[in-house]
Amino acid sequence: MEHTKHLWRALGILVVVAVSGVVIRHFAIPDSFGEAGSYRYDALAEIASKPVVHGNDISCRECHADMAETKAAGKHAPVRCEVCHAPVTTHARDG
Amino acid sequence: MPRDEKVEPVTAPEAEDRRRFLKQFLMKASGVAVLVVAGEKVFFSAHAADSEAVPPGTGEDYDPTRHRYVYLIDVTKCIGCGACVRACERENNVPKHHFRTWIERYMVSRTGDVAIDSPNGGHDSFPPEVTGDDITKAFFVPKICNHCTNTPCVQLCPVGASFRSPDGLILVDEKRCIGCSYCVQACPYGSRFIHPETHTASKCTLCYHRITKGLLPACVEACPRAVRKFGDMKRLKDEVSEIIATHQVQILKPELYTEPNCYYIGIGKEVR
Ligand code: HEC
Ligand code: HEC
Repeated sequence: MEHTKHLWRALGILVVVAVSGVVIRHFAIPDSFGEAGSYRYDALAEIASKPVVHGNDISCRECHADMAETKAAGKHAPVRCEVCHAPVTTHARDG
Repeated sequence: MPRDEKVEPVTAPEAEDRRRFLKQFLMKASGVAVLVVAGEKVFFSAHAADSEAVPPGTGEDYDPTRHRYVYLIDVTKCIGCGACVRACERENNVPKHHFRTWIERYMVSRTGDVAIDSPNGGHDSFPPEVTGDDITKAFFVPKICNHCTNTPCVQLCPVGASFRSPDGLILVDEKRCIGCSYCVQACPYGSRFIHPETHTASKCTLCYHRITKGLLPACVEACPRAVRKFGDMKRLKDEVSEIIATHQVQILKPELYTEPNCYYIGIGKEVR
């Protein structure tokens, strides 16, 4: 029976390889990877949470109703306020 | 076995031994295999389970599987003002001299020669044309990422950073991207670049942060001539889907079978 120890050694190595394979896989593959395809599904929410910069003409009209009227009556009616002026989120902030 | 010992035929008890050994070996090996598989299950079932319940997106009730975005560019209306390029730059913090959207000017002479320019991507609009040729027609062609259904950029990304989202957009996961720029070279439309600061691939997202909140992409919002239109194939009575269904629309480089989701109206054979 002394030769069986070779087999036990081989088996031990196999077990170590299998267990470390599972552990490495656990840490190497990010959360949410593969939920809808071979990519990290959480990336969608991350990209969607980037800050919005531009509003639209309705957002300017809230405070500049007179200007919105002037523009709507003029030749530049189709040109958005933010094309000529700065975007709404960089505007009239506190301080 | 030492040489001088007499070699004996395998006796019954020894065969018994081997059989027992093999039996035990197989039993133990299969036991270990079961453990490994079970461990795997325990490890990975955790996040697989909670993903089913919560749709991703904005934290609000945005469900990407209920949208299928398309884009339409009517070249005949474009005046090359560059408002879209500037809006995109501000909205997405696009670095100087890189473009997520840009405008090309095509100038065709009577002999069929085509001159194309795009000074600073059309960001500052266009100076008077300077070709010596006698130009018989000229037009502006705004370009963005075509968000191809069958795109090479996603196919060859080695780390799964470029992907096609359930709502039909090609996006880049900045945390996964290793900046190898394979995708930059693979894109037949030149829609991608490596961001000089983050060193990751960057491209048009159709303003994913805006459209998931019900806003229009910044370039569509900025366009004073309604050249650029944004639509959703899964929305009822969608203007863009309606135009695509009932009008002659074109795509860029159809010979590549990339199946773009960005359609054009009025581009000629000169446009590449
Ligand atoms: C929250 C209300 C609010 C909104 C929304 C708003 N503004 Fe204003 N805006 C103001 C106020 C208040 C001032 C005056 C600031 C000052 O005088 O310091 C101002 C000033 C301005 C001025 C400068 C006027 C001057 O005399 O210098 C411009 C131009 C302007 N707004 C354009 C816009 C545009 C374009 C938008 C839409 C993108 C917009 N605003 C949206 C409140 C608003
Ligand atoms: C075509 C470019 C253009 C567009 C579009 C435009 N503006 Fe202006 N706006 C100007 C210019 C130029 C001035 C400065 C006029 C002046 O000083 O007499 C100005 C001035 C203003 C002022 C300051 C007026 C004052 O009394 O000093 C406000 C407020 C303003 N715009 C708001 C708006 C809003 C709101 C919109 C959209 C509804 C808009 N603008 C669209 C070019 C534009």
